[in-house]
Amino acid sequence: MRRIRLKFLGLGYDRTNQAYVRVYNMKGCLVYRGWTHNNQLYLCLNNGCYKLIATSCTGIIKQCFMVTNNINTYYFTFTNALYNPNGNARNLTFLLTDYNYNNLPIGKGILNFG
Amino acid sequence: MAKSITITNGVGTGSLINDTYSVTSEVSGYDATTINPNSVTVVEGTNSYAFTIGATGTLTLHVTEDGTTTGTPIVGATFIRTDSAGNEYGTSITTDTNGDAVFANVPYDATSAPTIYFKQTASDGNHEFDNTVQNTTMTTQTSTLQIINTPGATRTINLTDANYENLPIDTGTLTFTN
Repeated sequence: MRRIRLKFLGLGYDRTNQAYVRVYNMKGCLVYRGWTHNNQLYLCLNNGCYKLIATSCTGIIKQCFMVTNNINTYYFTFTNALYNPNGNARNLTFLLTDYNYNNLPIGKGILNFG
Repeated sequence: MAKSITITNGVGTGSLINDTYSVTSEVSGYDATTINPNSVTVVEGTNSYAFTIGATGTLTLHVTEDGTTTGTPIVGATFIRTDSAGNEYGTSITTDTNGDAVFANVPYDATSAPTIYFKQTASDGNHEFDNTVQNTTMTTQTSTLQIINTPGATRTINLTDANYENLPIDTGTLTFTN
């Protein structure tokens, strides 16, 4: 059994926008479940094939992966992620206030960038 | 690929690469077409971006002595929009001869209207008023809220001669300024 790292692209930092991960062996037995922290988690697995299901607010990943001797980190990508996974995005702050009442903050809302 | 930023209490955070984006909004109670700017260029070195959005509701505060639609109107009472903590935003509105003060451009929504906070900052000088933060929600574009400003209680004022104990002054006027 080896300690490996599962790295998820497209999640947030620290405890923000993390994923809940379940790992099954090929017999369908749950061998791990837990939350990522800072985009990743560590677990111990034997070499072999596993099925991963990771759920976050930005989507779900269902993917099989093979644990081998030569690889310690396994990457998975949330393709619809809020956070751009290509590495050169940076944390930005967005302010939304009422146009007619100067500086009155908007309580709840969503800004979409396309 | 579109990216969404959740706004809470006026602020949201997220990562975006340098690029030019079109911006749309989903804010309950507000007019999505008024998002400003509707396009933004994210550039290196600038990590904060500000947007505004407007609403089209009208909230009328009807101020009377008894808080009813037919009560004696209070003229000159002032109100201002606030947040839940009482911080003031925008300019004050004042009741007219009908006792009406109107907040224009406030949010409304039939099913998920945001809370509108405001407080009264003055009455006409002859009536008591509640200066705490009040709130309401609007499910229709126009709405009227009844506000009560009760008459000030009658007080007894005594004026006596400073040199002759308890000798009442026949006639005179005292002016109280607050």
